[in-house]
Amino acid sequence: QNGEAIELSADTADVREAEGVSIYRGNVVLTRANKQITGSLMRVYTDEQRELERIEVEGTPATFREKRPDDTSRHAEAERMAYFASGPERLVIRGGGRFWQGDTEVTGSVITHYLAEARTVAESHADDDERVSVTVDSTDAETP
Amino acid sequence: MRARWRVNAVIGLLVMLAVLLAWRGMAPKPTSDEMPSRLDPEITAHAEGLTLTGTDETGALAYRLSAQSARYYQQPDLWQLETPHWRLAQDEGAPWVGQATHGRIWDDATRADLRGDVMLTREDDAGASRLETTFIQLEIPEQYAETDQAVTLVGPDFQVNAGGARVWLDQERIELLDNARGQHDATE
Repeated sequence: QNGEAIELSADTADVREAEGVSIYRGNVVLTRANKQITGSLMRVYTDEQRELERIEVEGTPATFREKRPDDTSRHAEAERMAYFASGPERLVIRGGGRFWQGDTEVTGSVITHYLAEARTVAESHADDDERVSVTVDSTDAETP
Repeated sequence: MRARWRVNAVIGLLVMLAVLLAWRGMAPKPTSDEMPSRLDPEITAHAEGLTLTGTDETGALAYRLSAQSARYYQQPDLWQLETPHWRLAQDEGAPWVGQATHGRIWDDATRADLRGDVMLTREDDAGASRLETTFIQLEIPEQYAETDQAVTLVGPDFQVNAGGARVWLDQERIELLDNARGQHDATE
């Protein structure tokens, strides 16, 4: 994780300081270093000290991309995601999304990707018909 | 020689005056709806170091507005203010405090517009929020402000720029319009 600033652009932003949330609407793009998240709506939550806590993303779909030098960029797609800027920095992909790198793909009802460790955890819930699935391309032994 | 010149000049002036009056007499009188839309009001009063204070129904301070100098125009009931500073009390929490280069307040001190270097700030335990723009309209009793000019909102850990804003002061809510670009610091 790192202290890089998070840049957001959108059609409008609705800052509600009493509620500790800023709502960005319309063509929303979040950029942080080599990471980019897009969606139609993003809620930026801050804690009592007004420090950034998490960002909830909605889109059809919302997308995530982490550009990596050796062209093994990481991607995610889902209707809903949450990005935690610290504590550790992670992306939580919900709503039956998918996460992939090269030819390796992970699906599940909730997928959590820890960016610093490059570790991905996929879960499915008992009452959920979405099962966890991991497809690893045998030619590329490195898992995401 | 000089005396005759003077007589002729006087006669000439009289003739011109007669012609002018005659022409004015023939010109159609402007009817009330053709009157210049903005009559230049006459200054009723000029003040230095002015302070206007408003209270709410319980007598508590609602707003305080001060200005280095001000001109009052009775006909539109309007104050024109130089370097206005103001303080808008809130039912709960910190007040909104502001300043501008110029300002006007009218309609029984319920409406104001502020220009130049306009700043609107609110500070609480977690830090200050500051709105900067070049023009803003205030609806004081409604605790509402808006601008269609470029605006910057600076908070403890963020900054947002946009092409306009609507502010609900009593709700601490600021809607930034037209191409909002935010930057949020993320601590370790």
